[in-house]
Amino acid sequence: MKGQYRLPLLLSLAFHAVLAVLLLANIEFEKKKIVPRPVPDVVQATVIDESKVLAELQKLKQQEIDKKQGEKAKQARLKKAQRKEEKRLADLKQKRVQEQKRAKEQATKNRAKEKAAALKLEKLKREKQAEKKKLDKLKKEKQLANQKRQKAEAEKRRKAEVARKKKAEKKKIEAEKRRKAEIAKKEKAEAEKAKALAEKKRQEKLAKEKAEKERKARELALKQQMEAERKAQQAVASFRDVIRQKIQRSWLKPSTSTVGLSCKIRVKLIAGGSVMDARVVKSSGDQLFDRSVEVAVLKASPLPIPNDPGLFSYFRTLDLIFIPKE
Amino acid sequence: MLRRLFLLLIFLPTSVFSAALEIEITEGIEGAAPIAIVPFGWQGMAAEAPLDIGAVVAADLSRSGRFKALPERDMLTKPTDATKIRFRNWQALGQDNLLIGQVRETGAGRFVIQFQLFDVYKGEQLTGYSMPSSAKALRQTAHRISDIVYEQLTGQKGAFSTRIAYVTVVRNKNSQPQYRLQVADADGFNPQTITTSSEPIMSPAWSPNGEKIAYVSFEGRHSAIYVQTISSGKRERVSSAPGINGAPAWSPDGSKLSMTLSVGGSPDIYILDLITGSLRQLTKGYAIETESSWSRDGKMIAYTSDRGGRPQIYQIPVQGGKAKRLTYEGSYNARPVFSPDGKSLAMIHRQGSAYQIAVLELDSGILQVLTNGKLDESPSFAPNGSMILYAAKKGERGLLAAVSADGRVHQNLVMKGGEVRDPAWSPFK
Amino acid sequence: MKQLKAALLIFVGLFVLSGCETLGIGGASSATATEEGGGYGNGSGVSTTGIEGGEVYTGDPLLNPASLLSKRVIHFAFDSSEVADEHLPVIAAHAAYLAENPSKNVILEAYADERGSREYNVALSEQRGNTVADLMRLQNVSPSQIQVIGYGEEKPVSFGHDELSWEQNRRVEIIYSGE
Repeated sequence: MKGQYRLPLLLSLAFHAVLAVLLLANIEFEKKKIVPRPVPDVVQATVIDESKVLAELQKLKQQEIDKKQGEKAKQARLKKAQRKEEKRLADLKQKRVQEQKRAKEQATKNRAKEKAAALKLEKLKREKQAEKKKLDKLKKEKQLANQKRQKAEAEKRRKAEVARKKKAEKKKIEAEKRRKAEIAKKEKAEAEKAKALAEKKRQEKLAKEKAEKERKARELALKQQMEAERKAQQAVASFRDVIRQKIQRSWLKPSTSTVGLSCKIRVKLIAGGSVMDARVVKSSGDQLFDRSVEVAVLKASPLPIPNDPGLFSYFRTLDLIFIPKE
Repeated sequence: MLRRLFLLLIFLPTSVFSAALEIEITEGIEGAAPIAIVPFGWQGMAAEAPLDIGAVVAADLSRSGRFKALPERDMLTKPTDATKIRFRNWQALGQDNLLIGQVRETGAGRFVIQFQLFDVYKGEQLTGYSMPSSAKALRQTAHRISDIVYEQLTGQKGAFSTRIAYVTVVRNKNSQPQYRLQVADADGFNPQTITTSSEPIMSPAWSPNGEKIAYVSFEGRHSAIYVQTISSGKRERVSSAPGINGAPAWSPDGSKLSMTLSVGGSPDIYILDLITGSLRQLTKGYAIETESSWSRDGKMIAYTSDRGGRPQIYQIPVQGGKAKRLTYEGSYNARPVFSPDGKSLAMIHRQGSAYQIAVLELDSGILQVLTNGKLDESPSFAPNGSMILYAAKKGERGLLAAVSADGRVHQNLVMKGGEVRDPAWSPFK
Repeated sequence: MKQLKAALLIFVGLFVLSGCETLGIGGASSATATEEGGGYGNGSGVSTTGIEGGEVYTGDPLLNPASLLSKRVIHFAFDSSEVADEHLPVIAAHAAYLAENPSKNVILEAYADERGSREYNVALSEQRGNTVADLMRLQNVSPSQIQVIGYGEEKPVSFGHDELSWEQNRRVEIIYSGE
């Protein structure tokens, strides 16, 4: 029971408080529309408010009487306000009675209305159920058809897909085939290229090796030749000295001055060192000098030469240069 | 390394691979060239030729020092005909050259001498002549052959057919000495006396044309210079001034005679013009100035002077001027004589206590002593300049000797008779 | 040497004063010569022998072996024409004699040794002769009385090729004309 009144009470209090503030602040509320509520609690709250407002009014009146008796204008205005307020309150009281009356009528109306609504709802409910049944059936049918169609489409799609897939597969295979062929070709080309390169390299290497081998052989031959030459040269040099000595011993220099004279004579030898031919190839310009040279060579014959036929070749032809130093 | 080898190979060919190996001969021997002179053949009435031409030629060539004649006994064959020569034989004997010849009598006292000179090693004839000769001229013909052979083999004109003049002294115990001016062949043969005197004869000098000899004679106890024509024996006294009349020397053109006169107080060089007879004093002063010799171009005179205290060689322009000293080596240099080519002076040079013949090379100033005697004097060049004839002393006798101009070959001229001195070699004819 | 010169002057003075043909002087001169003989006679090739005791010489003074006039050869050093002091008395004696006898003439034959060149030796020997001639002329001998001939190395008196011979051959011989 207590809970039943708590909310209206509070509402009533709040209502009266607002009224008081409005009165005090002299604020116009007329224009404010108050949304009517179907809830009956609102009446009770109004009652409580009246007493309170009165109390408040009293209080205010008192205060004004006590405190501001001197101010006639004000008192007048207050009196006017009070009269106005009193009129308004009377209006308000009347209004509220009307409203209460209207609320009562409304509540009756509402109850009838609710009754019809409940009936109508029931009817609707039933219709809806039927409709639903019908709809379910339709839905079921549609679903079946859908399923069927979907199935057919799926099949069709599947088939198409298979075909496509097959085609794709085929295409892919062919592409693969082509690719492989391409790769094979490329690989083959590369392999051939590599092979050619390798061959080339091999050939080059061979050539290089051959060249190196030949070079080494040449070098060796050269070295051997050099060595042979060196040995030959040594032998040649020693025989050259011996020949020179023998010729110098047989060269009777002309008694005339030989200063600045020189003569070159080419001598051909046969094995054994005998002079076959001695011919002045560069004359000294002095007939006697040249002759002394020729005689010296012929006189020195046979010249001491090596027995070795290999070395003899060096001595087959000699160029003797007679150039007396002085 | 390899590159070096190649470089080496690039340079080696000249010595290694070229066809001919080169050998340089810088030295030879000096000395006499061996020559075989086969006795000349003889075709005539007498059993043998009036003169052994080959022997004369061999002696001539040997005397020159340039040749060494093969002794006859060493000859394997004695060909007188070119077709009989086997050169190999002469090569085996080490002979460079071979001379063969023949003497044919073509009439009474008339001969033809034929000779051929061969190169033994080349086997070829170098020269050959055929020359007519009288019996008297045979020896002279032989000398001419020597000249031809000598010139062929040495390149120098031979001087074998030239002559020499010299003075001999014959001393007899019981009489006065006999001084003779003689002229002989260059080999000393055929000596002919052109002047005889009991007083000294000195300093014979050949005129450049070889026809006259100027000399000093002390006949009459007074020196005088005479010029004598050899062929006729006629002579002319060209100078007999008080004091010394000495050391005559012919100008190259034969027109003047330089001489030493002391008429001015001390011995000085004078020049006598033989054509005009004018006399000009060339040197002056208190010193001894003597022994003049004309340069080949006739512009300078070299002479001996002791103006420096000791005798040395000086030179002065013939036209007069400043004397220039030429010798500085040694304390005694005297009796200068120009070589035929004018490039050097032969002189007497004292070395230690020995007086020897030396040659001063004028360009270089090098003095070379040629002889090794103690008392060598009176040098005289052969006209080809190859030898210097001079007087030497051996024992108590004076003799003539010759040395090659390079000092290599020494020869003594053996002459009959007494002491020989003051040689003078004639010019070429 | 100074002593010699002094002796020479004294001697020459005596000689000139007394005349050449005085017998007494001859004795004196011979005494002097004998006295000096040992001093410089050695090696000169000229010896002063012949006078024994005090005998008097009565012949030609040139022939008096005791007289310095008998010394006719002056010797020289090598390559020199200087007269050595030892030879001055001889030259003085001859000079005095010639001055005293203007009719007398001398030939001075000058020689050299064999060394060196002939013509240079002729000149050298002539210088030797001239030196002697000059000394004589200084002592009042007329130049016309003297003739010099340089022979050089001709006519040697010794034929050896050594210093002994050369020394003998380097000389001036005083030869009176007519001898």
